[in-house]
Amino acid sequence: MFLFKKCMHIYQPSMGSRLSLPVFSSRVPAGFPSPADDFIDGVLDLNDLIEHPSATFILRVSGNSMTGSGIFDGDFLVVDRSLKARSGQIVVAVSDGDMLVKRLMRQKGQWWLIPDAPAHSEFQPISMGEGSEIWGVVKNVIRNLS
Amino acid sequence: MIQLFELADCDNFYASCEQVFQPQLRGKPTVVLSNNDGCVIARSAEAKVWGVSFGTPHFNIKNIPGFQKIQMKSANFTLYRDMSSRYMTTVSSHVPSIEIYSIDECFIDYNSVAHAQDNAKRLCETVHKWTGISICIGLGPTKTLAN
Repeated sequence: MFLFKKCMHIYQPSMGSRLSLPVFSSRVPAGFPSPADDFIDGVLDLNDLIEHPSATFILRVSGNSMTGSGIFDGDFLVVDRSLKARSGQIVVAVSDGDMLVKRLMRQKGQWWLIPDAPAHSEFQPISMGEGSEIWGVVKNVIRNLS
Repeated sequence: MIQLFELADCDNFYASCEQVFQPQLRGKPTVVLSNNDGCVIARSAEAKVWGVSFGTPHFNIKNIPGFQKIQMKSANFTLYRDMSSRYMTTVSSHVPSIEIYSIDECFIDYNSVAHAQDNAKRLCETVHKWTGISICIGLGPTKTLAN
């Protein structure tokens, strides 16, 4: 782990170890329960979710500007720098020397970094101009629930 | 058949690594200090322009006019080792074979000389995109000339 500031942690993915866990073919109902069909559909190693290990960084979120997109303070972001960012994707961007996580949008010929926090209207869209760039595309969010 | 070697070398490697993760340092004179902040072991392009020389002891930096603007960072070798391995892995996944020469340099052995310049240019762009580090590539018929 590389600690730069009190609020920013950057981790490197460690690809050396393997842990394959079973994947169940039936989806877990979040609404009405359905008759269980608990067939195992192969195994999954979470390392396999990382397509480009040498371009992937794990960053820790600080702040609440993206809660509407399911990104909360303290979450880990799996960020792939090798992907080309498209409009609508959640990205880590550099703006005025700061690293931010926002949704990238193209509107009327201009690129914008849009926050998504219904409860916090103080966050404003930021237009991407000189001195701002895309640092990487967010691929996954990891959150501890318990 | 002419054999063509390429030497891929990172620009101001330690300073570049710091600037990837601390974008506020970009465009500013940035130096990295050795263990226990002894002396300067890496300088960004801007710090070179300001006349900070390699090996300047920490206590002598204040003799440089406008030294307050020079960003000084303690070395973070864990980070540099990780960035080095990312860089080497990125290069090796785009070329036939590489030989690691130092923490920030590797020789690339291209089997054919066709499109060598285009390939080198594309490799520079890919490494910059994937890792955030800028590299230079030298081409030559021997390793010495490539360097």
